[in-house]
Amino acid sequence: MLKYAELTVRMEASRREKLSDILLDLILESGNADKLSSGLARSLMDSAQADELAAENGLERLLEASALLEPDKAAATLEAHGFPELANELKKAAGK
Amino acid sequence: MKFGVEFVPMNPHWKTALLTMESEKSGFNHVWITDHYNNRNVYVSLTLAAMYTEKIKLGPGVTNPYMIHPVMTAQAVASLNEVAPGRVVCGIGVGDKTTLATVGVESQAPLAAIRDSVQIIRDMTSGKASQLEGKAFKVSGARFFFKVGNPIPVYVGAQGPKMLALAGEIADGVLINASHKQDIENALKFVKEGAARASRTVEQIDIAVYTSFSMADDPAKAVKAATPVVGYIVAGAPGELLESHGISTQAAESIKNDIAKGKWKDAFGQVTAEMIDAFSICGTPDTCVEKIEELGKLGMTQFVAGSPLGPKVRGSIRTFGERIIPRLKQY
Repeated sequence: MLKYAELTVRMEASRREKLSDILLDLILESGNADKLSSGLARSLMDSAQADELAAENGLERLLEASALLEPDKAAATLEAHGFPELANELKKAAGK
Repeated sequence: MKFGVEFVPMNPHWKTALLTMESEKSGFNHVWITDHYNNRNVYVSLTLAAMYTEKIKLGPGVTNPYMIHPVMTAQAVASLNEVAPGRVVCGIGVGDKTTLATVGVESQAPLAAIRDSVQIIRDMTSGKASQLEGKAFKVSGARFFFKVGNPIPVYVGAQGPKMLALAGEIADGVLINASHKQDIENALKFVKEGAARASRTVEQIDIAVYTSFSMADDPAKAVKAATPVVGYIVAGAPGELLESHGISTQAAESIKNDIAKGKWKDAFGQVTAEMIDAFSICGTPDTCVEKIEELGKLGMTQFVAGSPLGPKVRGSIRTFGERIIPRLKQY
């Protein structure tokens, strides 16, 4: 998770918002929703309630959830939207 | 005009909660969560949604008195009201016959069941002991050992003339299960008749139209998302209703048979543009605004965007908040 944080902390606010939107859509549209642990689900809901999904912690949780639910799709989507470093990290996390 | 959105808890609770937060942020006033035993429990979804929101009203939309005795529904909504004081509403209807049949439950004496249920729920959530020798339910001094802070509005889900009239007579709100202007216009006549029977006016009732809704900038994508939902609606619609929209009962029967056989592609391949128009609010944001506006002019006071919402649920909720609510709030 440290690597995700390193990559997102340097991002401009508008890029973080965009990233948060993309990842939230990805997990909400995922057919693998049951794979998400209740702890991570709660962290996501807490971040959403505090309006912090685009903050460092929120993005980390979204990336973690995306890697769990949709590892391939998440990497491809991030690459397509101009986040190649994060896409690589997701691939590494998935062992690819 | 108020705006509601329907969620089906076939999704995990966290998804429903996140989508409820998004709906609140987008300006929706109500969230209605469906109640079927084969999905996640409606009150668990509602509780979580309530804990993560502050303003939006929420409730079952709709529960039924056949699977759940009205005293238990009263208990559930009263308990939910402790989590979200003043934000709870209760929608009740006869339920889906097909789902009830899978557990051997018949929806007998529907009008009596709903009439009795509304009274029991209202009595108990008002802090009274419910005493009723009804045709469907009998309760003898049923009351809570805890206080309910405020009355909980009871909405009746209705489609047929008699249920619509009953809603007009006894409910705080009616959830009219229809999407087409012509059907809503007809429904309102019965609601008004029922209201007159009880010396009430229609203004005392929240007229909520519970639609099948699908919106996307690309109309073809909106239609694609709406097609399976409309297929199911057509398959279960009464012949008279189908014919009033120029849809043959044979066409509906054919869709129904294919659904029963699990031949989804064949079933939904038979859904026509006329069916989409008759049984959904579907299209671009501009098209949807026009259609919702028409319903507002008829007297609708709450528009409920029901499944599927669009090809991407969260996207549709946000678009609704940005491009529909600001244009229709004045109604």
